[in-house]
Amino acid sequence: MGVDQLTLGKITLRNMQGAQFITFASQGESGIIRHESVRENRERRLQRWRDYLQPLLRGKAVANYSTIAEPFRAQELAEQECARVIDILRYFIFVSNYITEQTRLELQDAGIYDLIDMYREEKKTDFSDTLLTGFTGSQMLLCKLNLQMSF
Amino acid sequence: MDEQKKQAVIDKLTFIINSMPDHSAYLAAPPPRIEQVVEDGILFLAGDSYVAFGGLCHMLQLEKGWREKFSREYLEEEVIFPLLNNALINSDRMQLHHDLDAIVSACDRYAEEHTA
Repeated sequence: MGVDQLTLGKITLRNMQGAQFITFASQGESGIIRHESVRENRERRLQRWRDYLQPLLRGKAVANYSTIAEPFRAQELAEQECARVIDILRYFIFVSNYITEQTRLELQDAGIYDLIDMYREEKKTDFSDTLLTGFTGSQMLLCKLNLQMSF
Repeated sequence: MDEQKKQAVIDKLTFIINSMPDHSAYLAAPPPRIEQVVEDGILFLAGDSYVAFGGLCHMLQLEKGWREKFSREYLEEEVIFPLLNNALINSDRMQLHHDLDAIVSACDRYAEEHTA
């Protein structure tokens, strides 16, 4: 990803490189400190965050989603929302494998942000569902074609 | 949650407790079934009680604004099992109604934001 972050509906894709990663890592630590009141648990979670999760995220693009929900439901909704957004994004940028400032503008021009907004759980309609099924189907087809071409 | 739905929830809770199999019947019952340890005992859900339990979960998920905020697991753990526990130790419907009121208000007020 060639940009620091890209907000698509309620999902924010963040580029985990350089200063962006440092900010994200410290936000993660603050979150743990804020939410975990038991000292031992807090230390264990911080250790896990530093030793296991940070190396996993460094240099990658991560998706961020915040909502008013209990943690397990927030995770479920994040996965659903992220899958939708990624499907749409893949469909529109399958010719390019890198998101740049230019891509961001192209996404805007193509109405992708409006489209993503349409897929939000609270705005969902039969029409948007059908359209999303089409995108998912196209995605599967593209993946199949790419696989065939690589063999 | 309106009064009619609260009444329906209480009816379901009472039905679950009344149709709950004992331990040996539970062991003999075919799956699906659930054995859940709660504060004051163990709940055995199989057959009719299992079906009613599923219906109750679905009923709560349909409550306005709850599907967005709560997973099925959360509703089971934080709403249904505590209420079943109370129904298990006390057959007073008025008390169950008060317990349900308290849990429903807590769920309606839930406004914690989480990031995934």
